[in-house]
Amino acid sequence: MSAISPTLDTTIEVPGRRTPLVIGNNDYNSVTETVAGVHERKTPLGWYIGFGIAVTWLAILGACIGYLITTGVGVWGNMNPVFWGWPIVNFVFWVGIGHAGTLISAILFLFRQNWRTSINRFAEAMTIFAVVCAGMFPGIHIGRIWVSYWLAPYPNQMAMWPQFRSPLMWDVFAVSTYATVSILFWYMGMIPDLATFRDRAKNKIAQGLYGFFSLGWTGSSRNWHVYEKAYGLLAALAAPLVLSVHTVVSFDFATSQLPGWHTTIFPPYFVAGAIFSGFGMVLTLIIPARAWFGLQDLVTLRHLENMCKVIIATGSMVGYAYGMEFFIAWYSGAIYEGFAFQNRAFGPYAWAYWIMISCNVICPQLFWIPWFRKTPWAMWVVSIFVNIGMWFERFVITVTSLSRDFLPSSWGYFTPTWIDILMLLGSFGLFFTLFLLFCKFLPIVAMSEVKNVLPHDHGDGEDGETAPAEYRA
Amino acid sequence: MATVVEPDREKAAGEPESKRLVGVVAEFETQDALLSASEKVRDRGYSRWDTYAPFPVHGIDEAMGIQQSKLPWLVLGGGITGCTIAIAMQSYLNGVELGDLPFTILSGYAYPTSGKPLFSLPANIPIAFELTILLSAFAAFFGMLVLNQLGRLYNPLFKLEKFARSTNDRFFLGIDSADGKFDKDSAASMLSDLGASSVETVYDDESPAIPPMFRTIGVIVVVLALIPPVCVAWTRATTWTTPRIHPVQDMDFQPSYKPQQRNIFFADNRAMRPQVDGTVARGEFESPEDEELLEGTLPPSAVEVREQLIQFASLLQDSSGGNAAAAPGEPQGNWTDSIPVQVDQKLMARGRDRFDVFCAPCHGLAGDGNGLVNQRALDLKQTTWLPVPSLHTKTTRNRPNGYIYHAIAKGVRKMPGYGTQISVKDRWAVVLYVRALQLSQNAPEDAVPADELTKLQSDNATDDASN
Amino acid sequence: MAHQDRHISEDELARPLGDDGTAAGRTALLIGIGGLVAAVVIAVLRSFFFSESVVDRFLFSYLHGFCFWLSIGIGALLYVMVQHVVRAGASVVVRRLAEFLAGNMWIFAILFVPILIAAASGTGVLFKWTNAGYVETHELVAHKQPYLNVPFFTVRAIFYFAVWAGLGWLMLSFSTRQDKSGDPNLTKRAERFSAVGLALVFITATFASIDWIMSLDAEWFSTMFGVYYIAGSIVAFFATMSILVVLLQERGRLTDAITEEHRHDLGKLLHGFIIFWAYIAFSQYLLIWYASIPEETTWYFVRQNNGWQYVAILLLFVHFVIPFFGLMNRASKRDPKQLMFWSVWILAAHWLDLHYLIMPNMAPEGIPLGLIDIAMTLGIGGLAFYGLLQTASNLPLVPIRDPRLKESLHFHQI
Repeated sequence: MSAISPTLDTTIEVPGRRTPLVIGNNDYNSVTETVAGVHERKTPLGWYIGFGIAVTWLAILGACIGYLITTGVGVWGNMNPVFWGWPIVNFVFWVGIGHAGTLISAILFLFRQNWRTSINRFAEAMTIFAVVCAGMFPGIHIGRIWVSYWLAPYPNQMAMWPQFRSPLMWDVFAVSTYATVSILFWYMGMIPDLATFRDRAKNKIAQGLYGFFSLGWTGSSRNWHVYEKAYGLLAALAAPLVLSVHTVVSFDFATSQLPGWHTTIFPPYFVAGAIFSGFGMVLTLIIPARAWFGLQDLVTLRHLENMCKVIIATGSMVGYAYGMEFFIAWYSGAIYEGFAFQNRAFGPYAWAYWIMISCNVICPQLFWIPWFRKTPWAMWVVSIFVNIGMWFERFVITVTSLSRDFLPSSWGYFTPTWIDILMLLGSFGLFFTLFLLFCKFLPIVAMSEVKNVLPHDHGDGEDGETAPAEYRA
Repeated sequence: MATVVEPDREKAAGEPESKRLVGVVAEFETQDALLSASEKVRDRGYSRWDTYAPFPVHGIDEAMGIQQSKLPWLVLGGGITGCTIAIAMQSYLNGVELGDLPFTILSGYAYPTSGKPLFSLPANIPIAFELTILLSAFAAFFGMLVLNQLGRLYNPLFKLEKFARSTNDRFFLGIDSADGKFDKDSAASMLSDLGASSVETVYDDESPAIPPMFRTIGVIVVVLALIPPVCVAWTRATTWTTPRIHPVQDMDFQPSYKPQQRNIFFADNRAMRPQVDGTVARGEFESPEDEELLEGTLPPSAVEVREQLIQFASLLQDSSGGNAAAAPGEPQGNWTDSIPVQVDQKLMARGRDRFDVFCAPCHGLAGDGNGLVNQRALDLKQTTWLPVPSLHTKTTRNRPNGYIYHAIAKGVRKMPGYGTQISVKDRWAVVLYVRALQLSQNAPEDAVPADELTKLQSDNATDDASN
Repeated sequence: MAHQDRHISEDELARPLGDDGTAAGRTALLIGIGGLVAAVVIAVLRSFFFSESVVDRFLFSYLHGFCFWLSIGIGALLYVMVQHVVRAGASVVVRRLAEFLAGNMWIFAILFVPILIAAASGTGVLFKWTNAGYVETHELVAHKQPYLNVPFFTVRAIFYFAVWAGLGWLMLSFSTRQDKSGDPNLTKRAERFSAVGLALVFITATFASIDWIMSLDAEWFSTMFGVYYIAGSIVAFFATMSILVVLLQERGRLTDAITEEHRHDLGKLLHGFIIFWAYIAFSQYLLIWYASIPEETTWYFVRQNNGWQYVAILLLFVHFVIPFFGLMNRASKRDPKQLMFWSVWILAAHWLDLHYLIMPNMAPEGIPLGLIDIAMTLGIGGLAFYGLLQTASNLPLVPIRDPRLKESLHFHQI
């Protein structure tokens, strides 16, 4: 493995010269060694400790779900009129997190943003695990989990079909399609890398398993041709799909007549928020991961800086939507709408609202200052705030709006139970369990794609130079 | 300088004849070397050959002369299929109901919701979109697998130790022995001339065996996969004597009190509560007058009670020996024939008012059974509609007042009860008005006041004249 | 395929439109004045024959044409700034054309004057809320008086044009200064200005669309409206760009610099953004249709009756379904003729879209589409292009010393 070059500052922009995406004099073999090394080297103690903690929380989640099933949804704080409590908040939160992966893989691919190659695998895996966490919540929210298959278009024992005019039904289709396509995309991207693992595997079991899942990949150029075509097509399909998923989630709210939910800007606003939170989570994960797994040459500061910029952009879009909602609430002259927004900012849940505003709108603006975009720990702190803010956004939308019904007689104040809290934490246990397993056993960086953007000897002229003098700090 | 090396293993076996010749594989250090070699091989007219690289090499498609893939068409097909299925499924399952099909499973379920049309295209678009994407993605992924013949885990190339670097940092070019121009030695020398760092010949066993591990895993997977369906089939085919499993105890066994149980919530520790002072249980009356007023019936006399008991006993002995006199749906009772409220002009006016509101829509303002609802139903030729009977038939005229009161309150045959809408006193008022109506159509001539009679007669005369 | 070094002489890149531009400018001016005069004549004639209000007919048609050409400028402004922010290399050869469009925003400030006069007249022509009598009888509009009043309306409009014209000029001037000096720091400065500028343009374009289109129906509201207009603007911009590229190449300009790869890119973006437009339009419709709240459905109610419903369905097909399939094919984006066809098609669809947004406020009882609208649009467009060609004629058609130009010349699709 090549040494990390501490003097190289990739965040310096030299117009007309493309900053190398991989630094440190890496060649094809050293990229393979770096990525495969994460899997092949002796597992560090930290991994076991992290895994132990994650599995503990996963077990707590399992216990909570068992308790929920045997006792009923009354174990949550959901009440009248807040029928949608934390489970839906958590669902929307996790689905949002899941958006960055496909966005990085698909949309940045379509826009030829080659810097995606170092982080896309990581983000895609995050997407899938986030969608697993997300899918769990509506699943257990239906109360009678053992008949959840009634959601499928299958004539059940009452000869009834699902109600396709319901946005909740659309959600089932959107989230399951998203999960399926994300897995296909992720898996397809991994086939060549799994073949690399297969060819490096030392023991029979690993060889067999990686061999099986790499489907006999040889790296044939005729295969690569079809593969690239399929990858491009999947990207083109995944891009509108990403938009559609959070759009449909927003329809769950916005098709209703509830003030604070029924706003036409919800679809693009939810999508922007989802990308925002997703990038927040990618930063939260990748900053420690690149340090622990020695990936600084592949995931350079430039990559992190770019993600920070995406966060400013999407954070500002979210801010724009908050502003538009407020403006139109007043402009419309609709008294209920006006009240709903006044209540958000100054009502009993004002604390949640201001947490949301400060974390989502104000905090990311720190990234205008270059220092924040170039200092990993500072970014990490901001990214944590982004995650918190986006959870509170969903809390504000769901709980605050519901708690103030049209009839003041039915107003209420939602308080979570300890099961609510444990389940939220438990879902992080599930997420990190899956994630740590992924880090241990699968290629966490798309090796074949990174090799493709390595400075080639004959190369794409512009990518040709490694570490020109201008980048020396 | 390139060298031609025969695989060691094959040399050791010393029997190349028993193995099938697969082809010749050359290794290149850089992608540029591979590209230029590819162009040469292409120009020499080889058709069955391929190159291998750890990533898609830029320009290799052109260098090898690879044709554009057909995959986009597959994907378009998948998308159109998905969209069509989604729209058809939604419009059929929610938009139509085909009545009594032999298979209920095949009939849709048309139920309106929130004022939306049964087939609401805007509401169907999200799912149509999702299924379009889903099937397109399947077409892209599985199409890629099929076109690339992936899933064929065994490849003779894997026997070459050096070939492992094709997924890491080396580039290979292989010419298949099935190529028409293939000649082992000339191909090998050509490749080494093209700058290959090494050239090897690949042989294959005639019938590559599946590794035993895969067979074991396969068997285990199949067996495990069979367990759930077998369990389901077994449970469905078995009759159980034990109660079913109750996953949610709270729902199935609710904490309610049963008679004679103890409940410490109350001072007397009884779960059953005594009647609250000043309340009357339904169906129990303080006095016969109350019963007459509220139900329109009179309490049975002692003789009648005895007769009823005998009848009841005989019913118990012989279920067929019931009282068959009453028509089905006809209420029975010991009807009163009086009107147990004060009858005056005011009551009559009230009765007319209520009758016009509640009864006239069906029975008509004159009680002749030809109200607007009836006319409309006959217009529509509704097969389920039972024509409204006239109130002036002999049967109805002979009904006791209590019967009519009861019909108003509880309904009779297809007529619903109006007890919830018409109060007790008003019901009697309606009874009174019905009686008046009946009288108006069936009064004997001497009961009509003299001046009215002459007026009627003159009216009849003009009617006849005009006819 | 290694890159053969495409060598294009700097003279070819640097050659401005020159006399061709001046000639085209004269034609544009003629079309502009002729169109406006024709529109006035038609309006007057119509007032004789159909006894409709000349002023109303004229102004609505004017607003329609104005918003149409303005949207292209807004799209151009957003495009140029996005290219700077993402440090795009691929688009450099076509960026100058967008900079011309963006740098021409000042002319819309002048073209806005008739609309401003209509608003300031206080008679309620065009904008009903300017009429005090109307406000008195409409409680909801009275509630909006702190926003919808003529002085504030004027101040906002001045602010919008200041932002657009300022940023458009800034972007063009960075680029043309670089033509002379070749200073890479200008690229960096443009990037910094663009980051802030994007936010500003997005917000001003939102409120401009609220002020000039949404407030025509002063009681109606939609939080998505700004995004809808911006989505349409970007579509119109890419269509215009494609048309400009093909027109220039047909006249033998930039035939080497702009390749089919660049046209493919423009075509792809055009394709992508008609999908985005459809997404926004559908979401807005679906949410209002589904919730079915009377205060929102009024807007669509007008647009789904008296023939407007056919326009709505037509828009669905001409603005989305047909071009969606039409642009799917690779050749439709690379072949100049096909790209031209689809770009003109989509531009016409965008024009119809604005007609659908604006005109039902004047004529809820039926589609008023007539010669006057076409004359007016041509007139305003002629004037706008006259303004553009005044600047553009003497400038190179490509930012010749942009540090990323080489990359752009070598650009090829994945």
